Amino acid sequence: MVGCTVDQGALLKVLAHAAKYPANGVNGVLIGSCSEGGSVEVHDAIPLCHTTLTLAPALEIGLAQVESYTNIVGSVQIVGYYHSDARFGPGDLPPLGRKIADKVSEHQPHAVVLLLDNKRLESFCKAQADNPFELFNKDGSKGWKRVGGGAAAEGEAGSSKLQLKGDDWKKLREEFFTMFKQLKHRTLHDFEEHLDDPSKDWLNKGFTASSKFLLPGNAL
Amino acid sequence: MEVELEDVERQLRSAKGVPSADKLIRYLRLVRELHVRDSNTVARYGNILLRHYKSHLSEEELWVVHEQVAVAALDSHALQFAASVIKALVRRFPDSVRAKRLQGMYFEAAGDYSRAEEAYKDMLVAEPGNEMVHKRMVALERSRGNTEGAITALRKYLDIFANDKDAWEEMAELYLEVLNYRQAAFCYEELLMHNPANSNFHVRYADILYTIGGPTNCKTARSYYAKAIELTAGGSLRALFGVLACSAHINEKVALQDARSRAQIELPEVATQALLRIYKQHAPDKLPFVEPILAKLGGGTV
Repeated sequence: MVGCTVDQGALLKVLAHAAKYPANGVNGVLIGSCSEGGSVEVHDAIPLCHTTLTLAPALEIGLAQVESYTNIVGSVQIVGYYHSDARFGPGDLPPLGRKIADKVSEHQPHAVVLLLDNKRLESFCKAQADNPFELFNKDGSKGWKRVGGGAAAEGEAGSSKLQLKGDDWKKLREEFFTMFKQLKHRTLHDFEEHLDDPSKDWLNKGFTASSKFLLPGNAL
Repeated sequence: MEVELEDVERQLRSAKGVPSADKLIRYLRLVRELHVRDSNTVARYGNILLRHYKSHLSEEELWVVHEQVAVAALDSHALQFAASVIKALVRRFPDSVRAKRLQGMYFEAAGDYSRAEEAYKDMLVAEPGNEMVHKRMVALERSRGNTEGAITALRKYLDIFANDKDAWEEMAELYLEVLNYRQAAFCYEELLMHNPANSNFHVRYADILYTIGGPTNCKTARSYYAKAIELTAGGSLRALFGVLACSAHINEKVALQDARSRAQIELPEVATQALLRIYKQHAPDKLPFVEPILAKLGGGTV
């Protein structure tokens, strides 16, 4: 079991995507880098769908465009998938999510899945829990398995749970609340929106002011 | 009208103190007309309107607004507020099933599904043909996480109310949720029969067929995408990409025999060019990401 570190900006985008469409399931791709040993660093999240999660075309074209993007930029790759269900129920990666995650892991065998768990999101908002996300890893042929169990124990092998870069979950919560109050989540655009209106930017450049945004030709 | 809605919302947000009545009324009207689901905002502004400006509304609109705000409050889980609005409605219309069903919805929102079910069953005893309550029974199963139960209930509903377009769309969504693509496709066939000029239905139907896969389905999907391109005068990215995706899966060689086969042969190239034009104009920064995809799918000149 190897670890996964996520940039705050990436998580903020996932939260924004879910907040923009509270009555829908949403999903998207995670991009970043992966070490030889398989530990994953997630730098950014690309929101894909909020209605046709079950249909192949938007997902395929979306994945293809993200793949082109990573090829051109060169220093990042597709490293994972995120998923959030519409229903406020016990969080588990549904069969559909597992299928899509399988497709995404064709790009990167060490790919991770982040599940935004709605019940934990409620606790997160009430400051009763740190982290509303569940991390999944692919366990060989057994499929996608939850990593670290429910509330991650502090004393446990730190590398097997989801690490937030900077480790400041409180700051993430504050930024999320600020973003929500300012209705900034409405300015996030996913790939489906782009299909319906090509001027909408699924890269969401400038959405997180502090994001390490990579354009072709820009060195990091 | 969407622009109007954005405008009035912006004005409401920037209002100093209590926003004016006519802006609130206009906002709620536009939301109703456009069928927008932004429950937090509707509940917030509806609350202000009902608290300060009841007298500004006609009798009819007053109660339509009550209903709208009650549903929004339930959707945003503002249960206490919702209860007060529903109470006022039921007091005003004590014999109305339309008002009483809101009480059922309150129980649903509170998670008390058995009480909601009891309430709806009582209403159906009094009015067995009430469409609204039948639909609530479907929604109830959905909330419970019992999608199969919702499907059964909705199928019964559609046996009686076979022309309900919204119901067929909901049915398709339920089937997709349980990954039953074939039944979802059948729902869209019904929808297309009654709405033959709806480009979204054409695209969605094609999406489903493409997802099921296989050369026959891809061929059929391609013709529905092509129809959607026609209906949207080449503006639908989904349809344009769809045509290319289908063509890539169809390996048959088509001989140039007539206008129809010429159209089939030329379709990928035409779609590719249309996509390039759209991206050049509306999203030039994405062009480098799209060109390799078009080259792979279209096989034509980029």
